[in-house]
Amino acid sequence: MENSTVLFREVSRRFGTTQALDRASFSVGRGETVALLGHNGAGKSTAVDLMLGLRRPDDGDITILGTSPSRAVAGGRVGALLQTGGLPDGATIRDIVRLACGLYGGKRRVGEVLELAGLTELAGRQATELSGGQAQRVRFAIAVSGRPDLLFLDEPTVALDVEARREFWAVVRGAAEDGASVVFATHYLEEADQFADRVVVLSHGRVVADATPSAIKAMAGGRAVRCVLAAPDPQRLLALPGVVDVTIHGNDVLLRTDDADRTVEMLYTSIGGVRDLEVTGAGLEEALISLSSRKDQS
Amino acid sequence: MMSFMRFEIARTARNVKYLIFLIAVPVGFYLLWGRQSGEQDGVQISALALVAMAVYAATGGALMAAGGGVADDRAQGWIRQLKVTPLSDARWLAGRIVLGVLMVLPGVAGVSLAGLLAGHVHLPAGRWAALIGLLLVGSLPFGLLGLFLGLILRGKTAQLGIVVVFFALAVLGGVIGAGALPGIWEKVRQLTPSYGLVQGGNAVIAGHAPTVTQAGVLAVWTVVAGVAVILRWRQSSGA
Repeated sequence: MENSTVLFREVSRRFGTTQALDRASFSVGRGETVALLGHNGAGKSTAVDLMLGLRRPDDGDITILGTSPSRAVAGGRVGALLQTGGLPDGATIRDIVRLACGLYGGKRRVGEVLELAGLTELAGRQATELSGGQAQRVRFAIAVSGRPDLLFLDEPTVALDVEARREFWAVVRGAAEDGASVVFATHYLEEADQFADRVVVLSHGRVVADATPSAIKAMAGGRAVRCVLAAPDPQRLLALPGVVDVTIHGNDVLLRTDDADRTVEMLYTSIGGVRDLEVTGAGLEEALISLSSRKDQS
Repeated sequence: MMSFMRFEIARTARNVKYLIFLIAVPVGFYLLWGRQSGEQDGVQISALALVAMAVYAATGGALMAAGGGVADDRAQGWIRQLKVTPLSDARWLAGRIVLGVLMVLPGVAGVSLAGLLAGHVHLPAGRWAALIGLLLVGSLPFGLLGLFLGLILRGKTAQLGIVVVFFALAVLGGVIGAGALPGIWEKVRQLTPSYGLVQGGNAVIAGHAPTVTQAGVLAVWTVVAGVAVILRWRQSSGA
């Protein structure tokens, strides 16, 4: 257990009549990047708030870097980008980053942090003058200014467009290279898949799955294969390896599969005449429904 | 803590509205009405006006610097962001209060300079230093009060609330306006911290110490406002 950065054991937290977390358990190893995946209201932000000591659990234990959440934060070993965190008026980006570097005891230089978050050109601007993506990079800069052992990112890309999202993750990858553990909350399965070593799926406050991204996708009914066929035959398509479901509209075919690679291979070799083939991940919606019902049956 | 103070001071110093309200206004008032010759009970009238305007600058400075931005910072999530840095709650509170007290200085310096140059106020250096010391210590309850208002009110309401409280205390305390207040208000004013500070300041420039009542009123306000701030802070940051 010495190697665990986060230990979250049987944690429950209720708000009024809502059970935000219900005996949830998971852990994060040193240097590991873990995604907390779930819908709004699944308990992700509550879990992050608890791990940062912003709230206390009703029940259960949370250990962060071998100590309590508030001690880990006070010791400057944790950095966080909060969903509800904001930037102050009347200060430049450089002022804000300088403050953050100072609060964390000068573990990184101001110029280095600005560079890291891609803010060097924007250092003289006020926070109110920034786009959503730029403001998010400032919050990220604050979070990494203390070279934290553990970094929390709570829905870091939720309000960003595709381009800003890509830029943001490029910056995160650059910064996390020095062995820090990263915990990020997201409701994009794709984001969890691309950036996490492991995915913890939350639904109604419970951990319904805890596995590698590819295992999660497999559990969730795998992938969707779309293509156009001259004369689609539902029986033959359903007989292809991995296929669990077939939907046909005219010549458009949608296959759900546990094993996209073999399905596609056999689609070409045994059926042929395949046009406009596209393989995508199944949506989070299906994933959660499938995972939640699995858990209920067990 | 030092980096937090530096950040907040730079931020305040860049706030033009704040600087006008807290330096230009009391200095302007002083230049308009304070430069009278003559004496009252052996003290220059221009020196009494200096005390009133210095109290204006000090109490306004403390109220606004300690509490002014807090409501916006809360609304924007900046305080939440700070809570996940190593800056502890206690240091944040202490920083805001120290900031309130420090921000007394620019206005008081401005008014003092106006008194010296335009009002021909003659005061021994010791009394002048004692006055500034009194204003720094005596603005503590105002800083706490401003912080409390910043923690309970939201956004623009907080700014407005602080200004309303400031003017109410200024009028009640005799910082603005002269003469006795009608009826019961003359009794009420004795209990305001602004009145205590003005009267204490007048005593200091006449060469006396502030009375026990004056010091007592300020002390009680400090304790009450301090407890209110701590209770409110605990409540708002409660798990």
